[in-house]
Amino acid sequence: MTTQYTHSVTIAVPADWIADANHLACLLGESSADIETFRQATYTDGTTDYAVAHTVVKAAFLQPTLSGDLPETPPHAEGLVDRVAAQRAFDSLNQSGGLRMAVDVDPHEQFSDWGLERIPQEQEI
Amino acid sequence: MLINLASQYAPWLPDRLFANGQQGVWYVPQPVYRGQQVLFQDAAGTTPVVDDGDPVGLRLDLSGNGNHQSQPTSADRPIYRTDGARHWISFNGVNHKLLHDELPIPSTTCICVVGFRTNSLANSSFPLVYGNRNGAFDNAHRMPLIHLSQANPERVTTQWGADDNATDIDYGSTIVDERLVVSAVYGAANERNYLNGELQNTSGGRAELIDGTGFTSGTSPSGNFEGDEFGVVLAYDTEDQSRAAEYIKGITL
Repeated sequence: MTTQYTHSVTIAVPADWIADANHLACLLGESSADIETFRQATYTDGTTDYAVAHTVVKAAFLQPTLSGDLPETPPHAEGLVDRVAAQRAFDSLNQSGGLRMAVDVDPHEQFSDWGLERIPQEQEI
Repeated sequence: MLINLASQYAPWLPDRLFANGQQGVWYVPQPVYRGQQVLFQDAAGTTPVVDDGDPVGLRLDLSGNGNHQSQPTSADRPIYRTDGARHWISFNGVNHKLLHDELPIPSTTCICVVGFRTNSLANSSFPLVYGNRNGAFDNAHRMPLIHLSQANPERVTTQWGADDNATDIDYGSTIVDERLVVSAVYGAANERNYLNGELQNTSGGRAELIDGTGFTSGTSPSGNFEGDEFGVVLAYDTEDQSRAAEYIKGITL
């Protein structure tokens, strides 16, 4: 047997889009906790700060990007997801000023390609 | 009689460190261990990890203390990996993290043994391999803390107590891509560091430990670990790390 998680996604969310992006994450994700996937901006392009994530996903996660349609609300997201917010976030994907997503790439290389650097906020040990 | 002889000659396993109810943790990075499902894809423990590449949302503590590590957020789950011989949990240095709750301050002594390999130090200043460092910044949140240094790629640092109790292990060359077993010992009189079971240094005294927030593997406010973890043993009421180090070496090196 092989894993069902056959792809990976690297996502960068502008700080202003974090709330909407979390609704999209919860809609496409696997846990009610996904409503807090993006919490704090930790990368920047010098103008805009971004919250980022890199994760493995099943093929079904990428289906909306192929069809253009968001899936039905799954049980774990009932009562949590604002589909209007999720749709806004989805429509912004890889548009100017919107969410950025890349598939099957090294996250650190992708952040560099996007011109993103880690915000030097790491606290001393 | 035969049962006693069998147990006498059975391979040493870390459960002996917890045989009298001692506090601590014992984590292995493989889906099933001695017939027990140990890794699950979800934090609720309903979907088992089976295959190389499955995400890990729950890792059970084998010490018997119930200090299970979990990750409820789908994107933050690290990945189970295997090459058929070794097993490890892979952390991406971006957002992967496993957490468990705070442990009580050891009243006597404590050891912490971790097997790991870092892929890169390029993306984080102080990658945290394992430690008591998930909450707000506070010099006292170390029980212990094992971290790396982007500025010093030959170094592994351990800390018990405050900042000035940090002690460094100098590997002599870059630790990137090296599989290592680090033991941090909180002794009755001092702290000691071991690398692959060999004593590296001894501190001048015994640090004061103060409660902090939860333990984490993978990320912390101080830095994100990018690499592989092969196993963790943290055991109270002992300062002999030798057997645990040999066990972790066996599944790491």
